[in-house]
Amino acid sequence: MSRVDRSGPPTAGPTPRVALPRVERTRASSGMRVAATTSDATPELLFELALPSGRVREPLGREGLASLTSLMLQEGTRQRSTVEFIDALDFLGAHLAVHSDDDETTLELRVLERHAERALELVGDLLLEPRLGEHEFARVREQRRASLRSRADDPKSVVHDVWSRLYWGRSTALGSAGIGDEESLAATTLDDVRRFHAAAVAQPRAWRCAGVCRGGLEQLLAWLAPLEARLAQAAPAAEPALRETWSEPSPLERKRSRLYVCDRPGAPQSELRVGHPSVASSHPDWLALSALNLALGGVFSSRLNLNLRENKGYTYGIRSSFDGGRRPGAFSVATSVDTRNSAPALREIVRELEGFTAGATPEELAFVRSSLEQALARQFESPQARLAFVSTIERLGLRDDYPLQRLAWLADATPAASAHVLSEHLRPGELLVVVVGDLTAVGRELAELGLGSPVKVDARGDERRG
Amino acid sequence: MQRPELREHVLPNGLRVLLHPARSAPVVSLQLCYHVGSARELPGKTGFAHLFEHLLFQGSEHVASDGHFRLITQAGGTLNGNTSFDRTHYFETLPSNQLELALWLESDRMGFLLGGLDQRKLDNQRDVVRNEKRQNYELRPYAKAHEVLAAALFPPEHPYAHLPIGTHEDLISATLDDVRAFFERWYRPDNATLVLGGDFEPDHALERVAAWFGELAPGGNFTRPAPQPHRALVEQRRTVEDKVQLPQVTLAWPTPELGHADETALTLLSMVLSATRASVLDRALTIDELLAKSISCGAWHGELAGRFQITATAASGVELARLEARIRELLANLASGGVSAAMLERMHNRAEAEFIQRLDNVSSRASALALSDVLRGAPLGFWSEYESLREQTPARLDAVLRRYLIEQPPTVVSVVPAGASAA
Repeated sequence: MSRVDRSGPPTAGPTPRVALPRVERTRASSGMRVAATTSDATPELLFELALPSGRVREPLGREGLASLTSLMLQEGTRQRSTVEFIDALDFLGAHLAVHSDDDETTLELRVLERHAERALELVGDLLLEPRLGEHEFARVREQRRASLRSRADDPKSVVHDVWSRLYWGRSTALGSAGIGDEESLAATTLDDVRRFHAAAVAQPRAWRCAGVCRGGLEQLLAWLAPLEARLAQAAPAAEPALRETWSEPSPLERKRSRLYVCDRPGAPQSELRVGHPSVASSHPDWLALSALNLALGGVFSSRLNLNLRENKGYTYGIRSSFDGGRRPGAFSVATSVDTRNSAPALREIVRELEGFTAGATPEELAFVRSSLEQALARQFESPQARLAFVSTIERLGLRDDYPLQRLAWLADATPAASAHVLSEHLRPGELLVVVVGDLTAVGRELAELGLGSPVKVDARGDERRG
Repeated sequence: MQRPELREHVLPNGLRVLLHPARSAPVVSLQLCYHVGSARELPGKTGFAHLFEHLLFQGSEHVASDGHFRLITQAGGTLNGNTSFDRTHYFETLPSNQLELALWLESDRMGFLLGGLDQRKLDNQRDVVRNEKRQNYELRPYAKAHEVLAAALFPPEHPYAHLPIGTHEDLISATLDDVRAFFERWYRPDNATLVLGGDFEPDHALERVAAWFGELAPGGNFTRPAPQPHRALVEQRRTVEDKVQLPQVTLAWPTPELGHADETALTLLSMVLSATRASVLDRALTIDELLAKSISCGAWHGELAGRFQITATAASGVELARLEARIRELLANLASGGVSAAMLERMHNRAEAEFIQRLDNVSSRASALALSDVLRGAPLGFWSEYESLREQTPARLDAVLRRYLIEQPPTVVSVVPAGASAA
């Protein structure tokens, strides 16, 4: 005889309560902001230091400068060559990476606590005494040329680049591929790199640090003391601050969608990206939108994925997001579909967006509420997850209890309330649609979708003449 | 760092149950690893183990077709599955109050899958898997080389000569009868290991596992497959055309199976060659000489055999032949000059730090225990590998370098820009 009832889902006991990680923060004597939380999972320090030198501060004509600078920062210091510097990190078993995004250039360090002091000394060297040498620059530029040459090999890069160009336009570096192009690379000098880095280093008040270790903020500040001492001795700022170049996303013509196609003859799948400008993370509706998106395309069991994957079999997966960010991020849907189903897939996407403007169903709201509420129990276990929590709050200027804020909105949310938010922020009649695929195979059907006649663009997103 | 706490049990029907209690977070992670992967597929049925994995997320007799993803996500959990040459692995991590949900879902698809199966689900997931193949193996630059490499590295009858993703042709021909037969043969409690990790009371958890799984019928005829290491006698060369700008070369050698005495030395050798930009190959080819745009190296070990592999993408204007010749020269130089003690010390330190990182959460630890139990026949086998890091000396690395990479001819797969293979 069976000892269990298999006929339906078992009932669960009460949801375990967890406290959100407590974020401690201060301004160090140099002026940099430091935020931290604790983690007992491992005897490690996870640390990030973000400089205000993201792509948005690249001068026009020098697109790719932020990521080029990130590469050059990993090419040795005054005392150590590239190889000697990496060997020193490896000896400590430390991971150090430098990368840039729209807003920041970020140094990420992960190291066992017993080596934290020495690893942070290396971080200080990289930051304050980078080599930035001619010889290294010539090599890094050559490597960048190879990356530019092979950029268009990957349709996922192409759809990203085309989308960025059409979304932001040409008047900001955000409208270019993150690594720039041949012209901007040719125009960029080592002096540009030095100035770009020096300008960011000159204003520690605009730096942002986040860290996770067993001892929390107090321990982190103790480890940072030598860096603070070096900053106090550093010469006063000479470089003027970097200017941001961004403007609002390119306005699409109201009440009309636009369809752009980048041709890839013979491609077995089409890359699709569909969306429109939306709100920054500071917008009062963003948390609600990020929650409602779960039901639209944020998880496997969402409308888009259940329809296009589990019902139609057009794709291996499809997701949507309200990107948020410091400035108006996009709402967009992204997927790869088999070539012959490109037009039907777009039709289904538009149909799902139209349907969702009417609001989420009571079942969907219950699903989202339950999912987000119960997930809190497992979301802050690893040190990496705890760092991401602190970092997200600091980067986007969210409240320390933003997950609870979102739950509070959901607690009262009705289908009508969701329809109110969605009808304002989801605009299926004003879509930017990018297709990277075999135009000969799909062109005629795309033209019949009612999204406007397809405009041909190249792999950078520029309209092709003729 | 301390060994994960572990209790081992075997249910009367042969299901191995490993409990890893950990109170670091109020979660429970269930890992269920079946000892069947693409290596056990029959001729003409490639891709079947993986297609089958997809069907296990389509409901079962008591679970609705969208039940797994919907119920676990709704309960605040995450879930997924994956298929390799040797095993198929399913897992979910949930708040600790949801243990029963995980047990219900996993036991229903182990015991009652066929009651929920139909032709429409098979047709749908076949389309999904074919799109997965297009996305990951056909559209992704250079990825076509994986299939060609597997077929060239091992003899045609070797179970590792085809990839888990399979061929379109075989996927198209899979029938419901195939699915039923595969299920009856392999998805049995005595061909699986279940691991629970997290915040639970072990005696109670074991009782609940037994309640949900104890009544499922064993298959009774499972044996561990014997290793089938392969040794290459002649150099194999293949060329693949792809829509790429820069050519790429892969050199690969068959190596011994998981758990072989040379496993850890081979892993450390791959790090010495290409763990960071200061490693032997990276330094020579991307810093000192600028022959390569990028380079990677890996030592992989399955239960039947292993594979050591070096992949380099040429820098602009560099002939592939020159790049390949230089890689072989660098290997020969390392073999004659020897791995330095300082270099090995750095890689020891790095490997230890990475090991600690990899195990920083309950689900990673539970996963490592499950995979190790199924593939190594010992749940803490992965831990022994970690403990043996310091036993590896420069001489040990030199020896495996000579034995597998110098004294054995490589299999070489080149990916060249479309239209350039005649050159």
